[in-house]
Amino acid sequence: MLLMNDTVAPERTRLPKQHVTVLANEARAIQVRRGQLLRIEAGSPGVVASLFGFTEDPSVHLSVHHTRVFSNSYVLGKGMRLVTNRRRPLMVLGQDSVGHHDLLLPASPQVLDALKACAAEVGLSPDKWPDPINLFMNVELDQRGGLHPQPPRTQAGDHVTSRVLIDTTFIVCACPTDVEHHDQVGTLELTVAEDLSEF
Amino acid sequence: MSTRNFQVEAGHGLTFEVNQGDTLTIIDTEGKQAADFVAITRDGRGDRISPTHTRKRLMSLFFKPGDCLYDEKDRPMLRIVEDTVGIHDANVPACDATRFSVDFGVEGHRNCLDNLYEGLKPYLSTPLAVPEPFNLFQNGPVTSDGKMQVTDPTSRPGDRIVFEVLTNLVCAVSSCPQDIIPGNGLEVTPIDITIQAPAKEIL
Repeated sequence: MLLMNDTVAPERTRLPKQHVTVLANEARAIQVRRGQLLRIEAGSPGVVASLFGFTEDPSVHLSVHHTRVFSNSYVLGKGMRLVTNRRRPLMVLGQDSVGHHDLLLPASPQVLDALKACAAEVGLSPDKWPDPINLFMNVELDQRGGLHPQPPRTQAGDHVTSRVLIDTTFIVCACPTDVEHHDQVGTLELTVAEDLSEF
Repeated sequence: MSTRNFQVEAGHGLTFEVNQGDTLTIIDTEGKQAADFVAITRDGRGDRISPTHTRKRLMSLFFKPGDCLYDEKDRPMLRIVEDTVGIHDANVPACDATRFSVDFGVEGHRNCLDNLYEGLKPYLSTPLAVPEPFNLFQNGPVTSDGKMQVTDPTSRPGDRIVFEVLTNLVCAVSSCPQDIIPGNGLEVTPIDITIQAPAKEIL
């Protein structure tokens, strides 16, 4: 039987599970190899995970804008491919215990500062700071194009899990987002593993 | 009052400077033609207008006369003073070489990203640093389940959007060369641009 990890096996050895806690008002990086699973978990109710991802060439990054057009969708749903700014699938939303995320709003100044500080720590200096994927953010979109922030339904322990398809350095920020109902800060737990059984 | 007129050739790009106080008019000459529009400040900092930040300021995918387009630092860069169409897109990234090669299996097709980068080279390090565009006249309706409908513009020949320029900018416009999917009515046509500068005060 040839599964995802069998296909990447010739490229690398099986890696141990990694775990990183993102503290409130901070950002942390985590490296994920092709074939691994990334889980992002809320440590407290109502937190937002502002997600960024940079490939080996940091000018090629996770792109919220290309992700929308790749699926012709303004909203993120389970099974959707999150793609790079070169239209290649970088990861797939495979598990989602929340069901509301935002693909439309920018990073707050706090998120951007945390992103820049974290990127500098891991030696990343992209030409342009990408806009975030706002995991766990709850913003309704009406058919006239209006955006309406709603109280988040995320509880501690809620999570999303994605199979990653390109070696990527992810940066996840746990900062106030400057969007109504979404300035609660708390921790986020990042876990990377080869298989679901390791979580 | 001095006036400058330019035409963006069908499927090509054009870069030009505007100054605070100018009136910038972008015209869909023959109708049903998307014009990708980006702008960068000429104050040495190179700040870019941002559809994402504009969306947050307006809490809407769409904009209307009286609204401004904002940069990444939430400063207003252009104010919409007239709009004969009312339907534009601020959501879809510029078509690029990969739009045609990955999605349609077509190599070497003209594309908005390269059209925009061509004149912006002195301001940007790579095509991937081109700002996200406002796609004037492009039509991306929201369906009841949050999908983007892929369809043609509603603009008719001569339809226009007029901006008051609020700061000194370098702008780039691309007549979108997409002729494979709905977006330009399967026929790529030119875009006209008019810039009116206020009369200089006589000292």
